[in-house]
Amino acid sequence: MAKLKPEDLEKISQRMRKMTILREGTGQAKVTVHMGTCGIAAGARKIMAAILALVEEKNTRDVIVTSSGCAGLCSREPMMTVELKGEAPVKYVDLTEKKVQEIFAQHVMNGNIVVKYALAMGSERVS
Amino acid sequence: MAKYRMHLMLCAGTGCVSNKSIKISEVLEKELKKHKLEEEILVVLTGCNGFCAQGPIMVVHPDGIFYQMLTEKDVPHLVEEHFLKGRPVRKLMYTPPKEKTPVPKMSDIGFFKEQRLVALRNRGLIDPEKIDEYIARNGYSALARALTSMTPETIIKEIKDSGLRGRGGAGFPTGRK
Repeated sequence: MAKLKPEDLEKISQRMRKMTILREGTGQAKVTVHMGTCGIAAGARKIMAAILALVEEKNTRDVIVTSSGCAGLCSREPMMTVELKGEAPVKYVDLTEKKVQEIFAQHVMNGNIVVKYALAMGSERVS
Repeated sequence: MAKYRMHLMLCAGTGCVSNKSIKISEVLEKELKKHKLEEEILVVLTGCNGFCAQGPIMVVHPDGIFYQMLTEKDVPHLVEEHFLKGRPVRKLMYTPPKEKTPVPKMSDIGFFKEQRLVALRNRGLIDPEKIDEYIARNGYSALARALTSMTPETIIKEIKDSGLRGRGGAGFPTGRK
């Protein structure tokens, strides 16, 4: 067995980073794609795949990608909620793959809310 | 690592295994494949979570939702409702005795909430058979540091300060030994 150096431990840790942030919930940004039956019917799966591909490609922050059920505003699906650490969640509606690219680059990576695609900011309940 | 967005931490401690959690993992994999979710959702067999009476146990991350007393029959419904349609299954969640509503998140359940994990800080969060997962949670990093950048005196002082004591009846201070 090859001898490991302490730096190798660090390298392994880096490689496994995505796994740890998903399980520990220590991400800097959380993107929730609403995948209730209405969302799926409107094409949320493609949106989810697009986001996962973007995270794979350009990850500058630790991003957690997850799904949720129906948010209640079925007519504006596909929707997603972007929540940066320490900030209120922002809901984006009527998504297309192109809008998702823009939102990812501007909001998730640089912290600037894309107002023209956003519906609302904030959460109705305290959790 | 592929593009997994959800990890299903299925308990494979002795208690849950004797309650058929391995069989459950097989049905789970099959159902995920059926709904074409096997590239998005990862099934991880973890060590014991400690809540053995409620086994088999599964924790869904990143949401932290806690499922208990799973059976093979529950799996197809669970996969379709929660993982495909996004609706967590309330009847598989834990309801504390004397209460009527289930508690969805593991971090809200009394049994887990009150715990302060020290030696068991990786409980339910890694596959114990994959060394990389342990290293990712800082496994062996203390050993590496001790062997490369600490002197014997510093190491002894660290152990003395920790207050670590022997597990025999005398509880002798390890640092002194």
